[in-house]
Amino acid sequence: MLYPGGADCPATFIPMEAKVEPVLLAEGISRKFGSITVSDNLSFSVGRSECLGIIGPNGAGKTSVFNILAGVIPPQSGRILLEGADITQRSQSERTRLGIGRTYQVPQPFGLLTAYENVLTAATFGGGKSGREAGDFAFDTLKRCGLAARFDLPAGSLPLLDRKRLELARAMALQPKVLLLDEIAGGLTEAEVGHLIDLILSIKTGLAIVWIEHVTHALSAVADRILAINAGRKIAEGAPAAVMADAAVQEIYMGAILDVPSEG
Amino acid sequence: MTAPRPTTTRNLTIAILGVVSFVVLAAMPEFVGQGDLRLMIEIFTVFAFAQSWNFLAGYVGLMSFGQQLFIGLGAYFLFMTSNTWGINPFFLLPLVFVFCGLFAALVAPFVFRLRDAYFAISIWVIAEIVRLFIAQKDWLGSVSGLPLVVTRDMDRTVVAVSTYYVAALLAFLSVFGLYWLSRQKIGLALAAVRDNEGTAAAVGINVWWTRFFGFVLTGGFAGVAGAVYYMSVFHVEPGGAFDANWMVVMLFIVIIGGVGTVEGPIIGTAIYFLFRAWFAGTGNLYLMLLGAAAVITMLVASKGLWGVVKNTTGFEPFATRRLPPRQS
Repeated sequence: MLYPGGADCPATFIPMEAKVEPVLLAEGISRKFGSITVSDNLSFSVGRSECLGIIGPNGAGKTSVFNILAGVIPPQSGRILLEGADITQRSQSERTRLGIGRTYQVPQPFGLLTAYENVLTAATFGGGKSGREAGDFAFDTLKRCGLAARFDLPAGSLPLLDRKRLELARAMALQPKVLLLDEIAGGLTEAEVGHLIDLILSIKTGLAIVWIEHVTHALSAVADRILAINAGRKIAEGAPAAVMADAAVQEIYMGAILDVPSEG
Repeated sequence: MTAPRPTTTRNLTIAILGVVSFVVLAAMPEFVGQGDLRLMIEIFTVFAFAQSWNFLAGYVGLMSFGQQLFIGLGAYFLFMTSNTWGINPFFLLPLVFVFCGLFAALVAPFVFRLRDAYFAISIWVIAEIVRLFIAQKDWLGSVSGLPLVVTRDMDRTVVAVSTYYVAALLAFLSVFGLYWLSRQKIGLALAAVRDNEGTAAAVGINVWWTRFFGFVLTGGFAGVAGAVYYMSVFHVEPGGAFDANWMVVMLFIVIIGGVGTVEGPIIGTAIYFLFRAWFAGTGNLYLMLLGAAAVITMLVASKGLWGVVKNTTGFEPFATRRLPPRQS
């Protein structure tokens, strides 16, 4: 294969296009609940091996974006494309099988099933594995998420932190094309955040990640781009440092604090 | 030397239990009289009713107060088809399963639109509608009901023993079939849907069809159990077959024993029949005792008596918990 410039493409060469070709593309997504706008003509994309961070104040519509992407809430306008195919009309379970995996901000495990069984469901139904392969893969995923020792405990009895780990393990076991992470670093200690960053960087290759996070240093360590939203609208998008420095973003995050009159 | 795999021990326990139960159930008619055989038929079919509801509530996650719908439907379908075509009712049992399953499949799209208590009541309402419909139709025997004609001319012992075997098979399936099913892929899907339907969809499970499968299966099974029960008494009438008291019995057995377990309703059924043997002569006091026993169990042992046994002894032959493959 000849590339501009005439050189033969080496086998290990990955063209830049591969990274920016969107795996997930959201086009003009809008959703209102009565007078409340949760998503307002929102467009963004995320490519293979790329991590898109989403930031925004509470109630900005971050989780609603995930619910729209995952198929829980149908958008009133706009469309969602997964690897170029329109999945806007697909149900949540269909989207999961097509390659959209998500975690919940408030952990939503299968309470009576064990941690291992929770991950096994994902490996079996979303991941399409069976028998020994599904079991090994589920247990390996638990191990990677630091839950191997508690594999046999009912998920409902796990402490919050373990339930958050389980959210990640379950989503990973789907082997998705797009991984939607909803505030998985919140409540973790510094050391745990470090471990989480390593884990996400280790699975990032080949995967498209969208990560909603308030722990911004964790996000900055992993995200290639950041999308800032407020009231369902895009405020800024770009490189992490640029978005964090953006005046509109600063306004949203710091504005309220700066407005507080000082007492001399 | 490595310790034996829990799953290996578990499979062995199940296999032994399976063979022993099979042999005991099969040999029973040789050792007990016809009166006891009748009682066994009743115990086994009531146990099957209870397990059908236990499956629906504890494995599918659908709380229904109208399981008597399928008991009555199964019985009426069997009586009508057997009487009309003059067919041996034993051969019609598979058809009863199909009919009741089909009925469940037809009402599912409507009742699945309702949630929780509304769903529970909706099946009850359907049971009442069917009961009132039958009570008004002379060709269905109206309020006085229908006799089972075909078995009259058959040898009584043969009928009793045959009915016993069918009832024993239902009881066997209620234990080993339920266990087997819960260990299958569909069992995992059902458990996931029961625990959290949102997350079930988020791992790629089609929630609606999974529920539908569970609802249809339990409808068909309860229908066959109902048909066998009324086959053993040779007569069915709408007031009894669609009686909400069936629901009370199922609730009592499953709650006392432990919902969502294979073993619980075995204990529950034993206690129910012991209570009946001891206190049935006391009239209303009997019902009050049943109610009090259920309330006390709910208060002191929310997971039922089986939960207490399991926690104190650690004995759980029908554990459905999955274990990871041996890690080398």
